[in-house]
Amino acid sequence: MKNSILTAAAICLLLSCHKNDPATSATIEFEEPILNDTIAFMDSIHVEGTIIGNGKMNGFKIEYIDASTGTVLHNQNSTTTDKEYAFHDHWMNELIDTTTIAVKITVDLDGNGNQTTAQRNVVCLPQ
Amino acid sequence: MKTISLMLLLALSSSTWACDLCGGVGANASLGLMAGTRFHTFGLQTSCRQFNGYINQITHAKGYLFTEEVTFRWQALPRLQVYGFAPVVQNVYKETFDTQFQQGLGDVRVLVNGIVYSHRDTTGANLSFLSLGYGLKFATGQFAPSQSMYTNLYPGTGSTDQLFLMQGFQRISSSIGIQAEASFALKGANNSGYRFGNSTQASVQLTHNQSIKNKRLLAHAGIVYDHFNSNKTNGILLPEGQNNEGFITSSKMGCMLIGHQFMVSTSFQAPLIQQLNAGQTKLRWSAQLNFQFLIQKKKSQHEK
Repeated sequence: MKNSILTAAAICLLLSCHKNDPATSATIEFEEPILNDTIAFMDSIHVEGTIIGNGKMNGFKIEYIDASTGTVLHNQNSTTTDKEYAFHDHWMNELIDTTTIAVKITVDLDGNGNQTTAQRNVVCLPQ
Repeated sequence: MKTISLMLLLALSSSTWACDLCGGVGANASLGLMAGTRFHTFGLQTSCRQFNGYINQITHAKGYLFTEEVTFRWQALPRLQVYGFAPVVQNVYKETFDTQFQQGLGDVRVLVNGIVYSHRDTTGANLSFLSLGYGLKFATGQFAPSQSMYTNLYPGTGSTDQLFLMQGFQRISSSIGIQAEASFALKGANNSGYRFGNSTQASVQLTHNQSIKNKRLLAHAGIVYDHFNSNKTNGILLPEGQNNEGFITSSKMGCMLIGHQFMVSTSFQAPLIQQLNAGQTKLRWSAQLNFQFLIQKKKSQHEK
């Protein structure tokens, strides 16, 4: 009986330790936007999806990047520590030229510079 | 004894109205056993509810809905009552990168309730009764502009809705009774063409009462079922996951304290099974606090 309790306690301890391990990888899935979708002037890019890590992650950011110049036009940053995230954001297309925008998700896996990224391109149309 | 019986019936009563806010919460009415009494009442009730938003089962948003309502009940005739509710609403919706906040006057509601059957014992206390109600919800609250992404977050719906209510009570023993209610909200469209889906609510609760000095303490517990039809825009169903279609089955429990001139009650509701917005919205919990002044129409009525 005593051994059983000790074994159970050890398993719980191991599991709880494992829970707090930093992530070494993460899966990023986009629900939105649709790949190569076109966004009319003054419509918004709808960004939605999930990030699931194999351990605790240190946050993530969403960037809206002009794909031709690499210029970051807008970004959002979350520093919440968690094993999974759901992201949801909107960014209004006010661009004056037809522009391919890369919506890029960057996950901070462990706070030590290790990252995972995913991106999806859309085309923003001018007025 | 007669006084206590009447007070007990009032104590058994609860009054909850919900707006068409976050997560398809219906504008259904619940008057409990208020119909079995002949008091005028005037008071304030406050409620809070939390809904979470999910993407693939992962939480991405939390919504907190607060409502404070000034309420009254006018006993117009021995078997006819008029109820009024004037809410003020504060709604908060917190997402990862953004927080939305809406507040203001909600939609005012008026309800007429008539007792169609009442069976009393020799002391005048209700053994059983059945009542039917009809009400209107007016578009007094600010509602979402067309194309808004947060239609459910506004204090009002912009529509005039019709409310139908049926309630019954059966005393099982001197201290235990069973209360059942059913209501239906037939909803109109606002001037943007947005129409919240009709909603249905049914509930059954067991009640137990006991005397504490010259007051009554009442405990109640039961099940509440809410069903929501799909929201529409210009007659067209909104896509799955955006139309608030679904149901919530909740457990509900609470207690009430009744004095000679007041009633205070609190209740808590927790979902058991639910499916809303294709699983993208879930009710977490709701709670309510209610304080009412009791005004006797006539001494003789109270003693009847």
